[in-house]
Amino acid sequence: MFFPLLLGITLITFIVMRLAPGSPVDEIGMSPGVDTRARMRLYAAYGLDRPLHEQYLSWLRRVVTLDFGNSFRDGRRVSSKIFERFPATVFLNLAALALIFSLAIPIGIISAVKHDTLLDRALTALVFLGYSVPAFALALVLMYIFGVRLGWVPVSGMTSVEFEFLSPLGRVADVIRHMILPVLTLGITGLAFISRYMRSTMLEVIRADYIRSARARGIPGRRIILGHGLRNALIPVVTMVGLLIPSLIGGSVVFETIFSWPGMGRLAYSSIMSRDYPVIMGIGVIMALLTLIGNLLADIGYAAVDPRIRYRK
Amino acid sequence: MTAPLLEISNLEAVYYTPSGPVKALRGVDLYVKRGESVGVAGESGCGKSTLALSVLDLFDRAEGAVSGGRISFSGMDLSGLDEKQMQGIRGKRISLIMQDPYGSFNPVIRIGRQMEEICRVHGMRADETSETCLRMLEEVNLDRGVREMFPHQLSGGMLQRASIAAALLNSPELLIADEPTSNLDVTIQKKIIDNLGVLRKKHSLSLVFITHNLNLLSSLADRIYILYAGQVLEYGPAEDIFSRPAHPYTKGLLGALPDIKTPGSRIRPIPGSVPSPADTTPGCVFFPRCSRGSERCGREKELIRVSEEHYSRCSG
Amino acid sequence: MIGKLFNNRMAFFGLTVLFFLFILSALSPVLAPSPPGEQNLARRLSPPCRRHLMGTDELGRDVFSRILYGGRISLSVGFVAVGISLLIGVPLGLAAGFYGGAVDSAVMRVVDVMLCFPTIFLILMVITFLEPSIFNVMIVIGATSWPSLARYVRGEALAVREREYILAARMMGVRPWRILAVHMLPNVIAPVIITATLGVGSAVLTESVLSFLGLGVQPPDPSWGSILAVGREYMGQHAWWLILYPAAAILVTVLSFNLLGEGLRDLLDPRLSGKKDDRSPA
Ligand SMILES: Nc1ncnc2c1ncn2[C@@H]1O[C@H](COP(=O)(O)OP(=O)(O)OP(=O)(O)O)[C@@H](O)[C@H]1O
Ligand SMILES: [Mg+2]
Repeated sequence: MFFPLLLGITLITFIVMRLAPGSPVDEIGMSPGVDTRARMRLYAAYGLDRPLHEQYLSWLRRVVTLDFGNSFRDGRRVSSKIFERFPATVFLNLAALALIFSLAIPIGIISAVKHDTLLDRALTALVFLGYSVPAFALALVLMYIFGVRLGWVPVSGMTSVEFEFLSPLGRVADVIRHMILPVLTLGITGLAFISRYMRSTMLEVIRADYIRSARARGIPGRRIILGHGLRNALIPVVTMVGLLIPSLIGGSVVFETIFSWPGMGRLAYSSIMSRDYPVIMGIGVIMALLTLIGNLLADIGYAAVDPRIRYRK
Repeated sequence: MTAPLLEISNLEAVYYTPSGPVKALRGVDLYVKRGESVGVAGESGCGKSTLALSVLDLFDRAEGAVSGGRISFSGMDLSGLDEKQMQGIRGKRISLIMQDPYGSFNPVIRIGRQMEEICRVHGMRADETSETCLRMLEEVNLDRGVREMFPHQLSGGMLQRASIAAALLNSPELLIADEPTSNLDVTIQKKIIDNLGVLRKKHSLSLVFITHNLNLLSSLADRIYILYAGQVLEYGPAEDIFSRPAHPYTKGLLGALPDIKTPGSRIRPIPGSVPSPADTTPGCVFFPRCSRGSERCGREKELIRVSEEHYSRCSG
Repeated sequence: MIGKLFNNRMAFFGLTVLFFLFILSALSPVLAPSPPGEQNLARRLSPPCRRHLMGTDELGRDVFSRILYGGRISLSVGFVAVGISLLIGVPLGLAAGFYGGAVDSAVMRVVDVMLCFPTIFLILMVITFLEPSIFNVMIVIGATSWPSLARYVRGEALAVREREYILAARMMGVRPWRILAVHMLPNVIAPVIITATLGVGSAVLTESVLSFLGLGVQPPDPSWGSILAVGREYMGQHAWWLILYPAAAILVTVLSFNLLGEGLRDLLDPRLSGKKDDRSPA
């Protein structure tokens, strides 16, 4: 699973990058009038003059030894550029995931248990609204209301200017304050993805024969939902984490730009803008890795709740 | 005469379908005396499972509901109970074995834990539960290792035995078995039915045995109800039903049974099929398929006495 | 069928709103108080008033007019992009489902990789490298949104393939493309319509994100996303109307397409209702 995915993602990235007209050399400040010899020297220095498949293969060979090359922009190692941005992105997305799951699962359960009541309809409508809200526009609206108008929370960055002078606890609080808006935006818009699914699997579970059997044995309703239904309904929902990761990463590109969050998404955006090929490719690898880890975690979670999988050799 | 353990009168139940509610039970009367074994027989779709669900009120809110009539159990009106009180009855005083053994246990929880939970929610002391579960597994001839297993590791027959064990954990007074063997092969079917017979005597259970196979009832039932399109068409002592059936439908059902004694005799199925509960044509529900109907069958028919304890809606 | 559409409240509501949106965009030259590009530097950043229902932007252009014209562009981008994705996704899905084997695994391998890929990343790359324009936006969105469609179609085609009349047709030597076109296509219409309807909404959304980032519709052409970008810049000056109105326009449009799509799903394909879908939120 991993290698096809890695190959696929990097290959697509590579092809798209290279088939497009223009080159990073243009961006480095070489105006078109500069003489061709100088330009060719620069090309050769970056290895851009060799055939495409050779470039890709040599890149791949180096990646296997964990060497992602150096950035075209500032010559720094790609791996260190990415890894200094990595924690901020992962942290933000984990916080968003935590918010999403802690809201979506109860909402899904309540909606399913009270299916076709007014409460269910109201929840479903709200969730549907959240699902249709353009996330980046919501981000701006929240920024304006809570940041600019009310001044309750900071609107951009991960830390305040006086971060250096804060106590350790103060630093934590500072980062949390900066996270509120991005996490809220990601949460509201990502919620529906899970809660709608949770509702439908829970609804399916509630109607399953074994739930009726449990009722027939006098097991109280709450116990049936939480003890018998939830585990079964969660089984398909955990696999959604795997599906959610690409869209969260994709979202990071936009959100981190909006909120000036110093993460990988913003790095991706600025590298694309400046055609920093090695960095773009490196981020492609990280995305493949994250997707893989997400799927792996989903599989592990699946096995943890479903004995039918666990016992299959 | 003492009051029966279970008395159902004029019971009606509906299912909500996209095209409106349909009546799956249209005024069923049925009683079970203490210690008695009652058979309920009828073709697929005639409302047998609906009857079982109605007694314990197990409909999903949006699926269907009991819409009329009265169910009294041991002198108590079940429809007057709230959900909480009903929980105290289910699995404690009345147990139900479902038609499909694969749907009787939660697939992700070990059998033992599910059985112990049934004991616990009905107030059994913690130190007795494990002991009780083991004893019941033994009584249905299952290995104690089953406790550690998940449902998918058991065969259909084993699952059905396990669900019988689960049903009897709290020594209920009444056991309703909804076609417990119809999904199993014939040899296992026989073993399980014999086992049920033994358990019934041992635990002085009253039994409602639901089946589409009238034959099964010959060894098991004291009295038999014939259900058709949500109505009881005939009921009476098992002997009478087998030897002197009054209703053409019962005769048809008996004719549709393979006769073991005379080899070579052909099965004569009843032509046609059970009308859908959405069909509300007035008159005898069996009329469209009856070989000797006449125009008087266009009217609704009452249960009339055939002999002592034996009633039928038609005298043929 | 049409009658049922009117009975489904979701679909009906979505359709009604969309109808108005179409009318508004079609009639924008008549309805707009001023041409979308007309500047009036004397009245820059003016809040909503009687003359400018939704205020003016940093160059004194009427926001209401720009939103009307922006809608025209957004809707056309949405439809063309979905058209392109249909042109790619439907044949690929049909072929994968019909031929199975190597064709199927090749197509599905690509689909899997694409679905694991944050589409926006790809779109950004292509757009920057190709240089931004409405035309490129349409193509790129279309070219990246076909995989989920292809997957639906393939699933449906696989199911249809085993039906008796298809088997019979194949045995009688009916040509493959005929079987595909005559027998299988009608069966995949329902999921295709649903996915396409939802797809227009998400294409409109993607277009606005790109325009917001400066990579979509280029000035001086108006676009909801680029109005938002200006709104972001002038947030400190409390130019809330540059955020609220375009945001609302996007929300209403996307919401209507989603409502219509979900409503159609209930009508056309009850099996699918409430099930997950794998469009990645942009
Ligand atoms: N959930 C439901 N919704 C709508 N109609 C239902 C539902 N369940 C059962 N019915 C209808 O009610 C009637 C009685 O069904 P029931 O399940 O009680 O039959 P049965 O006698 O148990 O049949 P079987 O021998 O197949 O189990 C049938 O016509 C059936 O179609
Ligand atoms: Mg049944």
